[in-house]
Amino acid sequence: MNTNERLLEVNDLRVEFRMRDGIAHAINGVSFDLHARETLAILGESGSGKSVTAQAIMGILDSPPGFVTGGEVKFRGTDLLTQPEKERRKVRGPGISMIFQDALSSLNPVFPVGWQIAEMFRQHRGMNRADAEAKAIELMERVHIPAARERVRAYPHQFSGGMRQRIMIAMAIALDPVVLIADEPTTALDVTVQAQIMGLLKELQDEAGMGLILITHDLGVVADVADRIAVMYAGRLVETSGVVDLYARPAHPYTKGLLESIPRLDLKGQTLNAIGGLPPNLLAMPAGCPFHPRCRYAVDICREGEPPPLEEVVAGRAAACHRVREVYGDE
Amino acid sequence: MTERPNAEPENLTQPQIMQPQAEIDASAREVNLDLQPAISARSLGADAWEAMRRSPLFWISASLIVIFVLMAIFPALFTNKDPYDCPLELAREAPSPDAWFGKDLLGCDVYARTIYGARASILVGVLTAFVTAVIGVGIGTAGGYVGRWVDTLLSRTADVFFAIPLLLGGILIMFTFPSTAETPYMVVVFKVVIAMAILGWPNIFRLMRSSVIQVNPLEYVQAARALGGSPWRVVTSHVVPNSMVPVIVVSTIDLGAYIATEATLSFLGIGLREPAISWGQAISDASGLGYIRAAPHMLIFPSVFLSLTVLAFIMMGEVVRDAMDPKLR
Amino acid sequence: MGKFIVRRILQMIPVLLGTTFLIYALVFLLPGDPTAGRCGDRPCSATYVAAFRAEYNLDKPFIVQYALYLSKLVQGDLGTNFYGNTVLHELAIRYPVTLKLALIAIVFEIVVGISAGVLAGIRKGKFADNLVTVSTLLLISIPVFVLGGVAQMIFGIKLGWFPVTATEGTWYQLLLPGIVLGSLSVAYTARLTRTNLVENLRADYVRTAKAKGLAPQRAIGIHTLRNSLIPVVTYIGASFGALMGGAIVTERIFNINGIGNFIYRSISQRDGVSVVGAVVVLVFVYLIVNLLVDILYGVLDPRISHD
Repeated sequence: MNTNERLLEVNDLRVEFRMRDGIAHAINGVSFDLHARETLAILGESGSGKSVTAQAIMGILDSPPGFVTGGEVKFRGTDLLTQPEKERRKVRGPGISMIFQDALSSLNPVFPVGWQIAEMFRQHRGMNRADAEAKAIELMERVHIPAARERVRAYPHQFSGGMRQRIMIAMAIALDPVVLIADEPTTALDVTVQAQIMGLLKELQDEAGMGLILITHDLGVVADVADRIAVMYAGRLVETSGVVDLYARPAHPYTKGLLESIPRLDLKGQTLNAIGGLPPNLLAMPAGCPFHPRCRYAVDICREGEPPPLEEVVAGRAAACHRVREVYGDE
Repeated sequence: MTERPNAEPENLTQPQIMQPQAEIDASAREVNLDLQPAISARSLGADAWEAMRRSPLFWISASLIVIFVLMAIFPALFTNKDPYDCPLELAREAPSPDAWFGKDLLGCDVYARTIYGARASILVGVLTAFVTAVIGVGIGTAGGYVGRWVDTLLSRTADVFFAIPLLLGGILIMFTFPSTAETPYMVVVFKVVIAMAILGWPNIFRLMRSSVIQVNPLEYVQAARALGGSPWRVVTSHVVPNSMVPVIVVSTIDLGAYIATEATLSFLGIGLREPAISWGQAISDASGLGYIRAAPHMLIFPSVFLSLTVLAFIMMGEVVRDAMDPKLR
Repeated sequence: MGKFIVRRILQMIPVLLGTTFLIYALVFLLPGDPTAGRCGDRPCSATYVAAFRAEYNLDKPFIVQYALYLSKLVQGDLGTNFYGNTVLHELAIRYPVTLKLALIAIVFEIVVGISAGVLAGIRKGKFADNLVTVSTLLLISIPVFVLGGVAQMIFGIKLGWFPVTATEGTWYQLLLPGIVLGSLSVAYTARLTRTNLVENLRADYVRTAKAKGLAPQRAIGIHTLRNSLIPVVTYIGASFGALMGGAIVTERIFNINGIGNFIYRSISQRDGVSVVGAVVVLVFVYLIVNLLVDILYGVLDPRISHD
């Protein structure tokens, strides 16, 4: 694998949900790319479209109501969106793989965990039962599940939350994927277990050189592991940046608000600056910049016309804000 | 009924507004980022009514129910014939302009008897649904609210009753307490009602019990308790009303099933019998083999009425259930 | 697993005791003359009453009565009717036909019910779904004895596709009655399968199955169906109760010489010993079937049996 190969390239991706009450524009022109060995964090609130982006890349949107209405998802140069479903299916697993937030509900409750891991080998590689089970044990050991050989035939509910997420990870990395998407992999877990799971993901990434897309709402998780961050709001990327730069000097008022709402030990006793208001209703998006009703920088230009495009601020950084100079310069 | 002795005191005394500091810190970033999109403010009841109004099935079943209930109360609105006027010489006569549905085995007018038959079915159905609901709600609330050994005892008892299939148990009971031609109408009806209620209440009991267990820990019920509401008041004004919707839905669906079971018992000759007029009995009389061949009209009309009545109640129950449970839509 | 089975069997014992006690109480303990109407339309002769009272120990305290009744029951003694035949013998010569009938009904219920439910579930909101929803609603609303008469009239008499009666009880003769008998449960099975399938298709693990690159047939057929059928299995067990009640009606309509028809005739002859004995056996069969289904449930759903 070329060390700096561009694995994934998403261009102007658009997704809408056709509901009874109207069309919800869940993703409105999202573009980013991912290189080998790189970790990209996609950060946003629920409803910002971060999970939908991941599902659109995987091609596992619930359709209906969800439809990809435009854009490209290029995996090693081939657009997945124009591929026939049968070809695309072969990419899931060995090409791009995914782990989910709630491992208990994401694992099938009525099949042994080993069987579920082995299914990857049996279905994609045509391996026989015994070999596939041996592979499953190997993988369970690789994600540090103690007594893997004894527990390969146990069921998901017999494991702890952290162990279940390890099983989920073992299943996702079974076929040595090129890209791994982790959708809130630690949200359902205790803080100490969260750190272990993030450590495991990092370790596996270093071993195999995968590209990792980490979807989260938790700024704390991002800081340690991500190389780059893309902040999403109302179905758009509002800021992309290297991780260190972003924390030091946010370029979008939303990112700024997020950073200010983290409780900090050194500022104990001060009030937290939470972002007021609610994320916009995707069925009735406000005119202009979707963030303007909650934005303390908002001026008239923010309230009308098209939302501001994502534009370069300095090299390697971009933000979608009419007042980016004021925000970025306002320290 | 007494206050549950093990009601956790901390729930009653600890002010709900104050959270430990650590919890606020831990949840702060979650709260800011994880806001749920605003949900519509319309109440569930108004929503359900909207959904029902738009459903043609609701209007069909509602009209059928109105018609059959009217038929049960005022049969004379639908026919001016006497169902007991049975000239034997006209027995099994085919439908004619004079007798729309023809005549039955004894020469009675099938249309008039079918109209008058609605009363028994509706009466048995409504009474049984009512009695099972009263027993089930009462015992279910007791089990769910009091809990502990009372609940265990009541649940195991319900299991025993539940283990006997409705029709088989109905046969046993009705056989043990036979009616004769001299037994008064209402006594015969009540026998059938009680036989089915004895076997039918665990259905409502289980439903009510689990509803109460779900509602009980909710904050407004706990608040009512904390404010010193007497257990009886808390139960009647907070717990029961909030658990009633599933009970009404299931009772309506069961009502249809009770009508079908009553008709089956009458068909077997141990439910309603003369002088009461019932569809089950009419169908039984008509389904001798020779009659099916020679006089199918005797079978068809009461069968259609019976099936439509059962359909109306089951459909109504399902429409209401689907409207109350948006997940299924 | 073994522990789970033993536990379920042990849990069954109190229900069995309670049920037999309830039946016993309904038949013998409530006010009224327990021999009333047991000898046809005439009052029973004094000798029969005396024999009856002795046989059921009606002069002893009721707990003793019940214990003695239970011990007889366990030994298979269901009593002797006033024709002098043991009920056990009457049932023994008739059960094969009823078994066949029930088998046809259950196979029909499983095959047609699950297929229709799966079809409706994966085509939710489409024509097939609406067709299944409406036709099952109709089936549920038509009592078995109405359906039996109508089916006999249309398929037996008018169209002549099936024999009108099934006196000899051959498989072919029993086909139409079996389908009639299974029709109510077929409707519920189809609806339950549909509901569960629709619900499970939205489950997270189905999304996982898609993310694993599995073909849709496998995601639905293996991952979703297995979960969706677990409650259906339970329902099929519970439907056995309705099936046996329905057998009484169906066998009467099609003149099938099985247990159901025996019960029907005993009812019209007011042969109480036979009615009670036969119904008790049916209740027992029902309970045993449900115990088996309960165990099967545990086998199918590891969350129940493995902990």
